[in-house]
Amino acid sequence: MEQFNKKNKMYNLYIDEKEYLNYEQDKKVSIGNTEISEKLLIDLFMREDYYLYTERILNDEFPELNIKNTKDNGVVGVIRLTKKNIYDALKLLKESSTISFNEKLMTIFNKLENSITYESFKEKYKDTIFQTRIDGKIYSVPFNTIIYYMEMNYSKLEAIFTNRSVKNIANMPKEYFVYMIYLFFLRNKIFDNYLIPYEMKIKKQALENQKLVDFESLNTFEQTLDINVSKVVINDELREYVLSQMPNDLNNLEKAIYIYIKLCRILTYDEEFYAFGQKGKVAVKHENLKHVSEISPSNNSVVCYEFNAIYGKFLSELGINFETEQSFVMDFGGSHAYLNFRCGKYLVRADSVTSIFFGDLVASKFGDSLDGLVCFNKNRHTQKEFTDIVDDVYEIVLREEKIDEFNSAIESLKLLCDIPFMSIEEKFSLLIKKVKKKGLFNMDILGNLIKNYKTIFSLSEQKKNVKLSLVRLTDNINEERDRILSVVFTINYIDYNNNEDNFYYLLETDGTCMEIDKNELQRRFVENEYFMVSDVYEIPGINLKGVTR
Amino acid sequence: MILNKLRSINDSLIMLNKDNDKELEKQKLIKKILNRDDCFLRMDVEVAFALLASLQIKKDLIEDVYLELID
Repeated sequence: MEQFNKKNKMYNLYIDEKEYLNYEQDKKVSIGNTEISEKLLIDLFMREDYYLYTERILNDEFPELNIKNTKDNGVVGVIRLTKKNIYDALKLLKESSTISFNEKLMTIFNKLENSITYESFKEKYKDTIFQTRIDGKIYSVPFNTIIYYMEMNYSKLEAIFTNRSVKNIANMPKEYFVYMIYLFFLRNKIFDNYLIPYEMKIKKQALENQKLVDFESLNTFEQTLDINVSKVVINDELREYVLSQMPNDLNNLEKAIYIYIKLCRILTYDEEFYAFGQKGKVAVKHENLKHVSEISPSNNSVVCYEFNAIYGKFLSELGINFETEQSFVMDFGGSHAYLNFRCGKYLVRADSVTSIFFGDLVASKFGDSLDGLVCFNKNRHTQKEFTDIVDDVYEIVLREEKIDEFNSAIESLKLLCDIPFMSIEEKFSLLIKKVKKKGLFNMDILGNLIKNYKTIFSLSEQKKNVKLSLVRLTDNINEERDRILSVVFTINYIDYNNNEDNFYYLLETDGTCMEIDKNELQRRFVENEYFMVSDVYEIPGINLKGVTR
Repeated sequence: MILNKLRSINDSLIMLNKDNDKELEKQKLIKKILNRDDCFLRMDVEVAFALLASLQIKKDLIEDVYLELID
């Protein structure tokens, strides 16, 4: 029985269980991650009923042959083979003289060898046009254009793809074009069926990792998969609180972030629900969708899925599709839910209760950093952009919320006092004075230093003028310890992100702080005297690519 | 605890400035601010220095007092 699975472009050969088991137990040829039974390989060529299938794979009619074991009308095992798998296996058998190649097999082998070359790949596709649907619209690109870019040397390709001023390629947005190249190779299983030059594999890998261009969000979240969204009613007072001060000039992503932060600041986790382990009368209340419409600034206890219901409703009003995810975390005494959504190129997870005690429902009320809004794109540049947008929107919310007594008292005090000007240098000296007072530092003092750094420097100064980066140093004094933690400060009076005129200071373990030359600092990383702790602690202007972590 | 000392100073200054409306208003605002135990972690360093000066902390002691408050 044969069947072509159109969706997956696979060609299926169904065999019975006895035959399948024979192949499973037979001696195997190993090629990469695939193991093929020697007998199956011979049968694919020598048994006429099998060869009908093999021939169609060899003729490139289908990119993959699936040999399926059927039992009781169901599939219970699959052996997947591409043309190149078959070639590699045959080559191994030929070289090891495991089987003798008769004339028929030799002819097939030679034909196979010719058909998997890079030239034959180009010949096969040369006049074709690759077509696919991206976010609901059909796009086409000729194979010749695809191969023109993929044959470019890597640095030239990287320069074009990462150039922000290049917006369109082949009459479509650059991201779409790169996505189409990726899909062309993936869907046609080119790397599984042809001998492709190593250079091209590197490029394919870079595309796959979204390293050059971020196309990860394309064709995702095409609809909202939540049946309750239309039934959710947001309380009028809550809506008023969330939206009344929202600036008009925010874009959709900024609005989504703004609403999330405002909800976190006004809603609170239902401690009774937590205390009773999500059971009993209190749980019943939270299972009722009607209760969601009663959640207001004065009746503000929620659980994670109520937060999601409200936030999801706001997202759908912004035209943003989302999905609700469930996970099991013991800390919550049961199931935990959060939302994933896509806004433009950003793939976002919104989880206001990453922790009952430290999640954003708590942190946002104190102006502490948020950890529930996460961009899960692979591209690091996209992640960084997203974090910056969250920080900016957070500042907007914090600035506008001067409603509580403490903040209004601070604001009023500013009008009655002469507020002194403090330069970056003065603030930095103050921080270092604090460290010196503590003397030799350990983990506790390091934690305290980070806290003080955040207190002394405003968010904007932290982002532009003074960066604190944790580093590991080789411990030359204490032989029992391999590495110790220390801190490098990057200082720039304008913007350290431009990497021009940055000053670097190294905090010694005795609490003293020494300026260090940029080249010297770079050398210490290259020569493994210093090690990176994590990407969060990148040092602006210092190239840490490839350094040991 | 140094914050409690500041609270006492603030109370004294409220008493002393009963007839000085502007200074009294300032000290009452400071009282509201000092009510929070973590108040110095939640204000800009510039505002903190101005507040300490308003509590008549000597100029050459302000840095040290502030550093103790944010410990």
